Amino acid sequence: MHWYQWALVAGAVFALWASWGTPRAKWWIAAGAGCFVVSSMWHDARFPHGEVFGAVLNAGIVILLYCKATRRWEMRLWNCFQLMILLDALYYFGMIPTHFMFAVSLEAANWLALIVISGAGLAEKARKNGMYPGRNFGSLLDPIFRALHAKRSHPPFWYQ
Amino acid sequence: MMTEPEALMSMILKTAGAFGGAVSSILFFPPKNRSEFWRRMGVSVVFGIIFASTARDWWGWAKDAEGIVAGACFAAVVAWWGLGAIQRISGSWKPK
Repeated sequence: MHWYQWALVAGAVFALWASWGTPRAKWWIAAGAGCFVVSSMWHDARFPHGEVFGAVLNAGIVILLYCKATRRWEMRLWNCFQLMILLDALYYFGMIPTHFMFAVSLEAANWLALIVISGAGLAEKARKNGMYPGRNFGSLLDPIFRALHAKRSHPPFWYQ
Repeated sequence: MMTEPEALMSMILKTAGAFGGAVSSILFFPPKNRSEFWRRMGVSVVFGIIFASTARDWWGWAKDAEGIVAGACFAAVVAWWGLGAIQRISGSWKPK
């Protein structure tokens, strides 16, 4: 494994710690990690069309998130995985010219997803530890908490 | 002029591409409700089939099976997105 893969593992472990107790967070981390490991194995085995395989795996997570997400932070995570599919498609169609640029942009999208999960987890941890409105950083924290933990604006379309 | 089996094959490829485009559009632009889903699905599949060759020629893709599927897929995605945009614009407009 390369150093950037180890860094991503460390980031995932931190996100797991930060979001422990946040509903569904660990399942999304597990899904993202599984997708990353399987697509890396595909790439290392030098199978063809790695970006298409990665896009299919990410599409599975996008569908799962759309079906199961109930909070806004999960919808932002949904946007992160949409971005990953878009990057796969752009690389496939040659709009991202080099593999290096593709790898860097995909890595950035992975980090963005981990930041969203960690942010949601830390906001909930802070609130559980008594930082609610009018106390400590409560007044600062409350809008962030509401932005991340409010209910998603639209339920899946088949419920409407 | 295409022979009958060629025309049938072309139709199957266009339909498959249009369905692929419509289904992959849901990942990025999900509809708000079931009736919108059926409306957008129907329109994008029909548009995908009709404009598959136009889209393929416009992008300069090869005139093989892959090119037909890609053209139908692209036309369906554009139709799905376009119908959503029209609905948003018409929904935000209110008569005075």
